Amino acid sequence: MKKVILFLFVIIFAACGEDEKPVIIDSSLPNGVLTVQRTGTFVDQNASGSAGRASIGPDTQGTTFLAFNNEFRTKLSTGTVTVWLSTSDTFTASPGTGSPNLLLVGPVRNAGENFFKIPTGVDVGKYTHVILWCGAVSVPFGNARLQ
Amino acid sequence: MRSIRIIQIFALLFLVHEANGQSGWTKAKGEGFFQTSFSTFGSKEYFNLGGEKLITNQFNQQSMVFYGEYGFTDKFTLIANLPLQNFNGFETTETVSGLGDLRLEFKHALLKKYFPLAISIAPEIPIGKANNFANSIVNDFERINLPSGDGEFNVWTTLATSFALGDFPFYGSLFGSYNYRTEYDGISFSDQMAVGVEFGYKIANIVWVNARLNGLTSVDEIIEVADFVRGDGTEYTSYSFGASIPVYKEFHLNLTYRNYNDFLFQRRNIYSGGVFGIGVYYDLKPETK
Repeated sequence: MKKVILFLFVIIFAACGEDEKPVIIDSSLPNGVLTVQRTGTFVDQNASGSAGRASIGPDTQGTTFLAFNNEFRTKLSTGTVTVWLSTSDTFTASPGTGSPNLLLVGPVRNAGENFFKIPTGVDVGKYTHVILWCGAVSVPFGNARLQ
Repeated sequence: MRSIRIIQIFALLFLVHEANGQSGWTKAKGEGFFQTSFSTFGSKEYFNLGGEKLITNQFNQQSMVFYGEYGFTDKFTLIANLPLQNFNGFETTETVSGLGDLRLEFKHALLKKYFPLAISIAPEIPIGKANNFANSIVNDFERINLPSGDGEFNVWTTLATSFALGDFPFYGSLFGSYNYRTEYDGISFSDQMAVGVEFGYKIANIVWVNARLNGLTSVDEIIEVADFVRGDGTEYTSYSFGASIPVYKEFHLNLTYRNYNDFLFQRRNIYSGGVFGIGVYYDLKPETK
């Protein structure tokens, strides 16, 4: 009996002593500290309940991210809300010229904290606003001026 | 003259039910009215909750609706309204469709002869698709919910009165309604009130024509829309014109045109534009002994 107990003791502690779980690096999230360069509060449009704060800046590795804070919310039940960087508070699409005043950041799926990775090489300095856009209908749900 | 009905426009964006065809009359025992209709609507003019007009991508809606009335007694009429299929889509999305919500109306005549007055209770049973996503044809990551039913159980209570001018083929009706709304998926909606007036005249003793003015308003002041596509915060004034033409025996052709303005209530959370409708109805008359 003593041998059995000793055997189980060894097995249990051996299992606990296995290698640590591998660290999964999510490239869609900032690595290290996000240095906020500009920030702005969302102004609601069309009674969609948009609120919260948007910030933009590089992480420790120099990758630029757009971040929404925990207070972020908008009307997500109607359809896809897409995040754009814009050179003004108005969504001005210009398909013929590639919409130089806009940069598609991506759809936002959830309220609360969100991070959006900005593609390498993009000059985010020229974009002054974040726009929440319901593309199917073509109406704005809100915007934040980055300053 | 009581047989004339305008097509029941149902589930206009965003799922607005308009209590059309309200009158102080009930059917006589054994009388019936059964109609199948088709309506079409398209608009780029969306009025937001603040009443501001926005130009958006074009929204299109077509509906096929069954509407029936039957008099079980001289004082009690059962009315059913069922959108057999609602087709919804934006110019930038695919079109999605589905069955609408079933409205059953239990109408009782309070007064019949000199001052026709009727009350009705009309539960709307959410049998339609409460969620029906249309994918964008422009961006593959975008979609929008265009349900064919609003997903919530609600009850309309209507008080209506009418008058007729004896042998002169003219009538009028006036009604007021209250819509008790519940919730869908934890989202509560504001109750609504509707009012309407209708006048009709028979031309050359053949064609009934009518004109209507209806209004819908929210009971509560809505600051933030709980859900754009379920009629929350929707307000409007609508006007319509209709004609009913006999075709064959008791079969008639019904033509309608409806549009919106801000006369009674300012347009809010609604697409505004002309709605064209065509329907065929059958007037069931009880056999006379």
